[in-house]
Parts: sequence; structure tokens; C-alpha cells
Amino acid sequence: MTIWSRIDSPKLDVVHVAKSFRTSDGKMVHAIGDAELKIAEGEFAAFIGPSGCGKSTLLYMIAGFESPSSGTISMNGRAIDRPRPDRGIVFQEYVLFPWLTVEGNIRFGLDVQGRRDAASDERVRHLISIVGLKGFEKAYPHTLSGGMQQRVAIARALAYDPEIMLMDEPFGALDAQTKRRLINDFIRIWEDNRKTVVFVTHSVEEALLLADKVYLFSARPSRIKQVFEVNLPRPRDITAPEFLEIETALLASLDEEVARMME
Amino acid sequence: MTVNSEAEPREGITLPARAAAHGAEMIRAGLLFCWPIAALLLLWETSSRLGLVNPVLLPPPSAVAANMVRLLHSENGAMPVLIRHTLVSFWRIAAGYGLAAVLCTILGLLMGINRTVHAFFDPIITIMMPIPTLAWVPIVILWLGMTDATIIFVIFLAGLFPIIYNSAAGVRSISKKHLWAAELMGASHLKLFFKVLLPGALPSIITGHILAVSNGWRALVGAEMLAGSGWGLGYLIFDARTFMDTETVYGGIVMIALLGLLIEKGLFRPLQRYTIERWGTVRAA
Repeated sequence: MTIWSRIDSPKLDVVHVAKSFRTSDGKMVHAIGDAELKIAEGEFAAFIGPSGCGKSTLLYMIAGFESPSSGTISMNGRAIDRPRPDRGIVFQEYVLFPWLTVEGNIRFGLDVQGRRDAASDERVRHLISIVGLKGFEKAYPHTLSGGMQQRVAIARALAYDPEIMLMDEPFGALDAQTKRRLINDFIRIWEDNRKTVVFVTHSVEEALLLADKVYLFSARPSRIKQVFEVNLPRPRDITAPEFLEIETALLASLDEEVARMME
Repeated sequence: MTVNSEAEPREGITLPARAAAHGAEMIRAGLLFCWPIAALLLLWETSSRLGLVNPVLLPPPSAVAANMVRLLHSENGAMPVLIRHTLVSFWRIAAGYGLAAVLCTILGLLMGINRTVHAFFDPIITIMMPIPTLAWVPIVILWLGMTDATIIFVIFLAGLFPIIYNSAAGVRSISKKHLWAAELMGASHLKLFFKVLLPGALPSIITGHILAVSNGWRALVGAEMLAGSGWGLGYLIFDARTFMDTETVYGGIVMIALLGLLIEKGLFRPLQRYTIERWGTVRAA
């Protein structure tokens, strides 16, 4: 955790980013109109907005999988042009490699970067333990439940110690109980390392349980409509009045945008 | 700081107990498989011996077996005739399939990876695919004569399309997100190919190879009948009929069936079990 936080140089700087693309039937879709935001080191940022507002697309552009139609995205002051291992990603569908065991998946980043030493082995072992998968090192992903697979995905993204964790609706494919457990577990894991996180979600409750700041996207072509600061200590109580207050405000603003989408 | 996961690793069933149960299951499965065949053979034997069917056209299984023993007999230390025919067939299919395996897998993978390569070869393959392999034999005989090379080339043709098609399909079936994730984790293009593309496409590639050998085996027998030039199981069957030596014809057929079974159970099933079923990308049948 950095002691010297320089306010003038954010971890992630999204400057006037727009994104349009052509659909298969030739129509032009302007997903992102003008996205402008700054994410600080160690901040847990949540992106929320109506479907199709481009929040996942912006995440993929931060990852380097896609490029903006205009505008720039910078990390540590340098423009992002391609995927690099200073970032990690967790997808909604887990996207594990079925031909590798749990251990093989988690150490994939380290292996591919040529980091094979005792320290890496220890790190992998530690991660497996933290995410609660001890005993399953040699299991193949298809034998695991959805929740367990996502734990592997999280461990895999953390294994090579990226500076930013990117998460695209990671708990979306899980049932309510598993989701609750995993959210709590993830909060505990995150509080240990305090990485910068960008978390895309549809769920207001998820966003408010996890994030320091919630960035609400407007309808297409989107911009950042509002930023909600959640200054509540974790783990958060969803029945607490402060929580409910901010949840109500966020829901109302979000519903406005969802209604605009429907028109 | 550890967190509790949802389940515990499975314990309790010991290894010897599992092996014994598995062995008993295999015996049972074997018996289930064999009894209809045994019943049919019995019927065949009695009909033939009693003259209910023409014993020349349908010789009793016992006579076929006796003839096979004769063909397996070695004279003065020379290789038994049946073994020699079998080995010749085997060498031909190994060579033809081996050639297809290397060249066509590479082409198939390239087609899956590169759009231009795909755009070029796909129409050609689509046009040629419906042509039955054996239809090529007369042309290949003109090119290469009545030689081993002809048979090998025909088998190569039989394996061409399944391997190319399935290899390409295997590559294209890999989700973009898998490649994205690997790239983000620091994989170079080369590492992407060997560590993601190849393993991801492997189930389809294997399927393509299995089809290639099956097709190749069928094409082999037919090709040998037309261009076997003295040796090979297909030639054996074809030649024997000119002498009305039906016992040898059936013997040859039995050998072909046995070898096909051997390849299927001895090579493919273990291969599939070790890769596809272990990884769960195809449900274990």
C-alpha cells in the first residue's frame, strides 16, 4: 500500500473516451459517448449502469483487449495500448483452462512469465489456501462447482500480483447463497492486499457492499452520470440506515437511465 | 487468512476395492458384448454343417477358424502368410495416416488461425469433400502405378478432410476470452499457440484423427482390392474369391474386424480417456 498517494497522478485515467462499433447488420452503435474518470491507487471502483451502456466495454479497454474509438486510457501515467500482466481479469463465466488442474490454472500467469521458483510455488500454495481450495489442487475445473471455479479464477488473477484487478460481473453466474459467501470472502482477501479494483456489476447491492466509489453510467451513448462515494467500513450491513440511504439514491438514478434505455 | 470452501475432498473408497469393482464390471461388460455374437456363431455353425445354407457361400465358423490357423502357420521359419498380409496392410495405413496426421493437422490449425488461409482452402476442401475416397483410386493408379505408394496416398486422402476440418473447427471453437485472459497474463503469441490454442483444440483434433483412421481403414481394404498387387488383407480377400476360397475370405474379414477393434479399443479409447474425458470437454460416454 502506497504511503505517498499523489493526487495529481491517478492509477487509472480515462480521458474523454468514446466507443462505437458496427453491428452485423451494418448499424452503428455508440456505446460510450464520453467517459471521463480517475481511479486512485488502492481504490475499489464499481461500474454500474443499464444494459448496453458500455461498462464492460470500458473494462475491456482498460484491460487492453479493445481500443477506444477516441480518447485515451492511461495507467500510471502511460497510455494503455495492449494487455499486459500489470493487470488481472476475472470474467463472469470463469474462463478457466479445462485442460489444466486448479493448480495449473492458478500458476498459469507465473509459468507463462517464466517465474518458476520456490517463491512462486509458495505464492500459489498460499493463494489456494486463501480462496479455500486446499485439497483441490489436482482437480480439473469441470469437477468443481461454479463458486469454486470462480475462486480459482480469482486466485489465478492474483497469482502474478497485478497492479489492477479487473472484474466483469464476477458473481453474476452464481446462486444467491454462493454469491453472498464469495463476496464476503473476497472482501477479506482484498483487505489483505488492497489492490486497485475495477468491478463491473448490474447489482446495486453488490456495488455498495464492495466499492469505495460507484461510477454510474448513463444510457447509450453513455457518460459517467454520477459518482457515489461509499464511506462505510467493511463488512457493510445492508440493513443499516446509511447503507439504505445511498442504495435508494443509487437505485433511483439507475432506474432513470434504465427507463431512458427502454424508450 | 483462510476461508471455508463449499465441500471436502472425497475419501473413503480405497484403491484396491475400486480396482476389484472395475475388474468385475469389465468382465460383466465383456460377457454382455460376447453372448449375442456367440449365439449368432452357433446358429451359423449349425446351419452350415447341416447344409441349411450353402457351405461354400457360408462356411462354418469352425472351418474358417481352422483355415486361419493354417494361414498363421509358419513354413520353414518364414513369416506366416496371414501375418505378412496383416503387416503390409498395417504399414500402409500407418504411413498414409502418419502423412495425413502431420501435414493436415498443420494445415487445419493454420486455417483455424488465419482468415486468409481459411478463405483460400475452404472452397477447395468443400468441393472435394463429398467425393468418396475410393473414387480417387483409378486416378491415383495412373499417377503412381500399382504400388504401395498408391495405397498409401489413397489412405492419405481418406484422412485429409476429417483432420483438416476438425483441426480448424477446434481452433475456432476456442473462446476469445480464453485467449484474452492468457494474453493479459503475459503470454506471447508462441505461448498462446502452444499453451492455449493447441490444448483447447485438442479434443477436436483427436476426433479428426480418429475419423481419419476409421476412414483410412475402410479405404485401405477397398484400395487393396483394386491395387493391392499381391499383398494386404484387402487383396487377400479379393484374391481368395477367385478360387472360391470363402474360408480365407471370411478369415480375412475377421482379421480386419479384429484389427479395427484393436485400434479402437487399444489406441483411441485410452487416448480419449486421458485427454478429453479427463478435461471434461466431452462427456464420458
